[in-house]
Amino acid sequence: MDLTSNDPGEFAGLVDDRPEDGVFQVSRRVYNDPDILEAEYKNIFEANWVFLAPEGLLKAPGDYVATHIGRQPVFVIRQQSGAIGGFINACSHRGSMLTDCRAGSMTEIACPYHGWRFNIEGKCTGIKLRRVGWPEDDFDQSRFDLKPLPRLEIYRGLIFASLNADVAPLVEHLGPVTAFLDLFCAPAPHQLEVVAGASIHTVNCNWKVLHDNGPDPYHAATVHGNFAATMIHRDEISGNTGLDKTETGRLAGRVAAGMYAPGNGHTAFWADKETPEVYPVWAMKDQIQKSLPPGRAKWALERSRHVTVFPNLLVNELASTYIRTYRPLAIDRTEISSWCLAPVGEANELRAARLRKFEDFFMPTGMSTPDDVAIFERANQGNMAAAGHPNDMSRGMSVATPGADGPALELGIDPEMSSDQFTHEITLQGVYRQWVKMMSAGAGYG
Amino acid sequence: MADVALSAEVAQFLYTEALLLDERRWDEWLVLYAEDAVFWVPSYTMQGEPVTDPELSINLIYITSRAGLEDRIYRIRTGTSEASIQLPRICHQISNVTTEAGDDGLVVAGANFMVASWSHRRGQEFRSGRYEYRLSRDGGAFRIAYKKVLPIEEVTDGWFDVVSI
Repeated sequence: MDLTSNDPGEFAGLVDDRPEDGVFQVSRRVYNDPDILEAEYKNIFEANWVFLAPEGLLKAPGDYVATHIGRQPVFVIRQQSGAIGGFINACSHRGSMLTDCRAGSMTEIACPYHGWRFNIEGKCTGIKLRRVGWPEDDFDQSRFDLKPLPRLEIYRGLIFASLNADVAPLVEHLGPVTAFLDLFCAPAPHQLEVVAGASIHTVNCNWKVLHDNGPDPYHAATVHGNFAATMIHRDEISGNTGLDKTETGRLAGRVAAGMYAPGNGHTAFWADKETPEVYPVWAMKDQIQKSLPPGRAKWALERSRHVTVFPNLLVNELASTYIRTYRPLAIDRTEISSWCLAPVGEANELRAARLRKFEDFFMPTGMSTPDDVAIFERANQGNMAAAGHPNDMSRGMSVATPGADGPALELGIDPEMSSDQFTHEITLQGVYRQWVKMMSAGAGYG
Repeated sequence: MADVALSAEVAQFLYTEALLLDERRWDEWLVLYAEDAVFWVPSYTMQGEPVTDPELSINLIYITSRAGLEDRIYRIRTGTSEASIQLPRICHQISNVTTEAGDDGLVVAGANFMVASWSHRRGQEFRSGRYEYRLSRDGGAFRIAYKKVLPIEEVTDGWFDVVSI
């Protein structure tokens, strides 16, 4: 494949999208061809909005998080004004990475190579032996200021950035997903904070194997049936009630549920909570019912929600609010970083109950995520079989509803597609339509 | 002056626990734990420090009863956990054992660990770090009241469980 031609047909040919025949199939080459990853870095990660970090990690001026946009090292930092700045994480002199920590705090930025200095607003404040190198009195040091990220916007405490100055405004990119992100923050008057600790782990799979799993509740009963069985067993022998009880209705498929393709490659699915009273958010029921219209209050209190934002963010609210981002390290290797958000000022008992359930499910050392990770690696192995079938993602294609269904109207969103079956694959169809669109556009940074 | 007899007894106890895990004798392993035992594996913060307050932090593992450890074994034995159906063959190395008398008659012990593992799907893996124990007496025998496992790795490659660290 000639990936430099930017011929739309090159990438469109990898996704067989025929709604009239009920067919949606994706070539396994998208998972196993290193040339595809190179094109994804350029045409997706470095051309689109990408999620960087929760703003709550940056509490005081000088607090920073260093991460990547595609292949390129970047960092975001809380500035003296309180605003968040974003910069390329490379010295403007000869490119040494300015920080090699994931996060920390600095009062100024000093390059460890030749000792150049920058303030946390990115201004070049010191060049070692400057007059020896540039004796001119009118030397303009500002040409060495750090290069800011072309675009940086924050929605509900989630920091997004883009290397492409021409991307649409963030809210336009997020579209109907904003309604879900608003709900994750519904327990106002409490702000959400990032709980101490993080989950950072690596998996031997293509990033899209991971991304495909997020909007795929179809796998849950198979892969997480053992978790549900373990929790049901525990509740039975211990007589657990209240905050100690674990919700299993969703995993067992006993509740109403549905999914959306909101557009732009994002996804959403939901399930009614069988036992909404066991969730920490239930403690804020009265406030939520007073502050939101009835339909949205129902969404906030009685439905678990799950969204992915193309290409690298997953947010869900099961026992707690979970934020996951991921970046490709290689065609068959992906790094995952996750955090837990919880309301500021929450009572310790509620907080602890929330966190223990979070750990049980989401840590790579818990009782669910290890099964996901093992499946990702197994799926990745199978996806090497380009000579076999393409991957089929057509479930529900012929019966899903274009536009909004009843629950979508309650939430006030207008998705591209709706389904009342969360084992459908309309979410993945939306993902790969956007994938083809971005890969074919070849917008590419620079 | 170190209590040589106590140090030797603690070391033997830690070797026994390691052997029970290596040989997957989990029912005998569970008996080593007190009913209200704490099993704690901190996560690392973004700044690269292990969390210090397990109740109000995200941990890799934070279990506060033997029943919680029993859940882990129950899950493995369902036979449907993809991460557990081909458990790695593991081999614990325990070294640098330290002991001191703690409060309430507990013995405070520490040890370095290195767990080599091999599985068909992930090949050879190594995990290393330090254990901290608080041991109580049940009659003559030690019971684990508290076990903290601090891996040296900030980023977990793959996954591990209470029986494989």
